[in-house]
Amino acid sequence: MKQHQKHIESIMALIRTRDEQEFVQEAVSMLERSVNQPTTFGKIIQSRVPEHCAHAMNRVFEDEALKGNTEQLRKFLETLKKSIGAMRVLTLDIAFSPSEKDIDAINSWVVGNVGSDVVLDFTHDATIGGGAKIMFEGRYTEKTLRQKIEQVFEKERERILQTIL
Amino acid sequence: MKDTFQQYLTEIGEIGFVERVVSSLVYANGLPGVRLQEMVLFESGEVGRVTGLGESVVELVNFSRKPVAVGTRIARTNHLLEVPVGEELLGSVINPLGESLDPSSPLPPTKERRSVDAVPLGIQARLRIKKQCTTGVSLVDRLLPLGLGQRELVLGDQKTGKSRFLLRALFSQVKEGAIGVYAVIGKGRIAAKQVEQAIREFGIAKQVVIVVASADEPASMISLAPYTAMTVAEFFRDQGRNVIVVLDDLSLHAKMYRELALLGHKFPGRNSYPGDIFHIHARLLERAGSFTTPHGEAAITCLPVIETPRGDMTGYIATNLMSITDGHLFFDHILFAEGRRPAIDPFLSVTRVGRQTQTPLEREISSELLTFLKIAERLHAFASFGAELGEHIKEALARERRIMQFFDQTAYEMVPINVQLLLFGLVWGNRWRDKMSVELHTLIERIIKAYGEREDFHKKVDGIVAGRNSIKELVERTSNFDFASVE
Repeated sequence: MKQHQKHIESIMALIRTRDEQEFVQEAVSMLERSVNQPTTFGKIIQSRVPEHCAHAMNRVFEDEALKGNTEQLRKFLETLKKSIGAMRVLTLDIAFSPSEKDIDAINSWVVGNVGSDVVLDFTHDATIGGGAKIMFEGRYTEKTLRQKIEQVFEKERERILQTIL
Repeated sequence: MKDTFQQYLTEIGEIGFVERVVSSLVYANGLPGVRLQEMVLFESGEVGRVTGLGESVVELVNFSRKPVAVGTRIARTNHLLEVPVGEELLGSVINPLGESLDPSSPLPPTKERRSVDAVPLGIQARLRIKKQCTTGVSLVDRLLPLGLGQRELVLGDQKTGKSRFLLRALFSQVKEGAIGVYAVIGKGRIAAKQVEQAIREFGIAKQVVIVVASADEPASMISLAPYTAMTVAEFFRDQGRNVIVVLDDLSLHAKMYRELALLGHKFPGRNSYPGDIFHIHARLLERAGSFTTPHGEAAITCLPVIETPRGDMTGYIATNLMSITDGHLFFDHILFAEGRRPAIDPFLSVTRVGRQTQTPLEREISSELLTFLKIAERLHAFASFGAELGEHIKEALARERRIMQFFDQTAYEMVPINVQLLLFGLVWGNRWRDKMSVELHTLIERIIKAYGEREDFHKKVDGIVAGRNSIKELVERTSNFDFASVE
């Protein structure tokens, strides 16, 4: 059982975004349906799961404890699906489309500081200029360039006006 | 609204996301510090209120007709649902959120906003009901008097003259300096328009606030309407003004509350109403009464309305409200069909505190009239057997007819108290024994008109009535009344 939990955690740690979470969840559903034909697992994983997760998942299903034990496999897949569905979402409003490198950097910080059960949800909002609006478990904080500029204009209104006029 | 939403987000630092929408109910995640009854803002501009707190889900009601989309962001406001209150509201027609319904005349900003769900004032702020609330309707003022601060349920079938009575009572009170608040709850738009028009025709619109939640509004909005009306009334009460509040009608309010409760999977009780239906009505009506305020004594007189299908006054909500209020006026559809106006059944109606506001003369009149009418009703039953009637029975029945003509208010809206007493003196003293029905109507109409228009006649009537302590004295004084002086 402990081994199963370890497998689940290793898969979850690789899921970085909401999109990836959906892909993996869908793939697990398909695996559940094909539980009696474990030979098709490799194909499903290859075609449905993002590349960086696929390797880890393939490795998990190579585990001897799961191989050939349909009941165990069914239970494992059920737990895996539930755990992936229950992952916490950290929403980030940012002004740019993040590259794979950006996502990796943010995700590794999140996994290290918040937990491995967190997925990122990126929303594009060009009006914030830079920085991010961060939303997590009902908490909201804004660390954006727009807010900073607004604060500066509010604080130093008189000085700015004097400089211009 | 977008800016306000952003401001609240930044200020409070909490956010929620819509997870599920069921009609007016919205289920959201997030908002960890939200409180029950707190107002929330949706990113799309709608306003909502927290109605339930779960372990990971918050139940909200959306007051907008437009449904919110799943995934919409929600911001807390950290204050309870509030509506604007102030003198600026007078003469306006508002929705339960306090927004003007006339797009051409939006409300000017008010200085104050108040929570719609206020705790009723305690015993220390309450006073004994000791002043009469005149309705201008002779039958009510004489037989079933109301006091300022009384909560009197008005119940009856559809189209039995309830609204007419309510408008007359409103008119009469506003003429005496009170503020009127009329809440149209869950009625059709036409009914709301008719109320508005009638109030304008009476010429009292500038002293009345109309709160409208018509039938096409969402259940959340309809169930909010009586609270907004009461909040507006409380503002004027705190300014030392008497207020009359009409809640038309609470049976529809109860139905809307039931709809929301059933959608929210609350356990259904009798007639599928939720278990707290009595509590919410009692809490609402407890906000009315006679109070002491920093500006002196002021009262909120409340007239909630209930519709009784086919005259059945034993319904769940009707009996609940009967036990909450200080009496009820029952409008009988049979009496209405017989041509009685108002069609109030004096024997099935009750007033619990109104009589303590009457003078000894008025109390005597009320008691004598009720006894006489009860006897007359028995005589009717006796006469229906076709028995040969004695002179005294014929005389009693004729007198009853004249009394009913005195009470009939088909043509005129309001009968001033002193005119009511004068007319009673004339009827009771048999001064009209020889008058035909049409003749009598014309005469009553002329007396009311002359009282309102001619100062000398006004003084004369007041002189006749003033200082009389018994029916005997009143009848004696009216025995010399010169009908020619009305001309």
